Amino acid sequence: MISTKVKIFVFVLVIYLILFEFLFPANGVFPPVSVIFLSVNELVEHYNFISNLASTFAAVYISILANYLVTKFLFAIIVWMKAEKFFEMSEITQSILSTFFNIPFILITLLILVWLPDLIYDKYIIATLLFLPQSLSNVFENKNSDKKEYYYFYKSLGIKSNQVMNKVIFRLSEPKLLLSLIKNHSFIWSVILITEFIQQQQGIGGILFTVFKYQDISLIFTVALLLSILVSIVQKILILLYDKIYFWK
Amino acid sequence: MIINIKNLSKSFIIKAGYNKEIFHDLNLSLNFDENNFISLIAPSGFGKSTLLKIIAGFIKPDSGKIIVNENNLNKTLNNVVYIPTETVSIPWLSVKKNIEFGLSENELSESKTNFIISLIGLEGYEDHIPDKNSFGFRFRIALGRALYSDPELILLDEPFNKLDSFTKEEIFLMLKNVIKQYNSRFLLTTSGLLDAAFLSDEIILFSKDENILSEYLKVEQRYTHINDMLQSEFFNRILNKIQTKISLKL
Repeated sequence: MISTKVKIFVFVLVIYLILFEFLFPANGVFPPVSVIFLSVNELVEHYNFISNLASTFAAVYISILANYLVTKFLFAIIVWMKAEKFFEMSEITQSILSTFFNIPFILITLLILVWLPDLIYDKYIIATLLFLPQSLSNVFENKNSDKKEYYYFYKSLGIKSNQVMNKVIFRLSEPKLLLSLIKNHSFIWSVILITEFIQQQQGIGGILFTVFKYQDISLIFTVALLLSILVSIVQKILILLYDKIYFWK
Repeated sequence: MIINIKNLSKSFIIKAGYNKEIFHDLNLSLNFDENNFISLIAPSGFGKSTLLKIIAGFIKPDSGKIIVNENNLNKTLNNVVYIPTETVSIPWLSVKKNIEFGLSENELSESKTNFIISLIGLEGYEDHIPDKNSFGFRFRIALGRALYSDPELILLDEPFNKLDSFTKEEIFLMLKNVIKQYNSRFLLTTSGLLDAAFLSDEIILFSKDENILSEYLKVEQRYTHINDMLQSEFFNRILNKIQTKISLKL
């Protein structure tokens, strides 16, 4: 049984093929499919696509991992200092964190690039920091959750506050934290691409800078297409892994 | 063990400049020398959970005292376990790992774990990870973990709210067995007469007017099935007696 999604995809592909391969091949907006195939070859041979893709890919997923680890580390420090007050602090902490959500990400990106010019790790720092308020906010989220009840129960058993917070409360927050990172991961791709583009660094953003300079529509189109396919596949794999790890959520 | 609650008051700040009084000058005597299972029945909004959290030491009262065997609380009552309304077994751990969670090597004992697992009726399910909506199963696990600490008192904060009637009866029978075999003491808060009447040795009623203690009721008859109790003269007598005093659900 062919799914509706596949049917729509094939339909769009056929329409695209008829319109831009045969009817309007030199339109200056959408390149013909044959040119897209040739562009893939050009990207690999002249733009070192594979190694640049590896660089951007690593930056995206290392940043996601770094974001998770930094959130966990900050949570551990906060509960080490004030475990007893964690639940009282959560509302005010969330409202402080939410103010960061309203700052346009490009401003933070530009600021970091000005503060730390020529640093090859800029893109990692930017992608990690940009999503940190969101991740911390997910961990501090207590409304409509049973976290406090868990805390009372395990505390009454004589288990130390730090142990309850790190081994139970943080784990209870993990599904929401990681789901938000997975859902935002195409946005993390954008942040990394923009940083590479501005810095003209190694990575897909660097390639985009060059092809943008030459206004090569077919190459921009091909990169966009390849990245969309890659991001969708990785997103599906991540969701599968997430469902496997957090089966209890 | 006798717990005397003297002139206990508690209020919470709802918003700046506005305090909500939960209870005021509450006086109560819980005699665990004569009873293993005491239930507090009060309407919703009375502050039952707050009272249990004060007894467990999580919340400080604004004024008043809790005296245990003539001593201030926490000097003699070190081991009080609080089981909340929500199910709190760790959802990613198996039954056995939940029961042993947070215990040091010295505290762990294979025979004790096995004894508790059989006591809560989960023999054969040691490696099972329950579904998060298996409320009865998860209550058993939380109770098992509580029993491992050999508590002087287990506080049950309306834990049966999400259970269907069939599971409820199973859990009640299991609890009765636990009381018999483990000699544990329980303090249950509920707004349901059925839970209290089936499980308790003593029921303490609070009237609609907050803080006004209506009555201490001794439960002398024991039933093995909820239906038998519901049809009994004893249950209907209590129900009639208290229906006028507080709003209750079955």
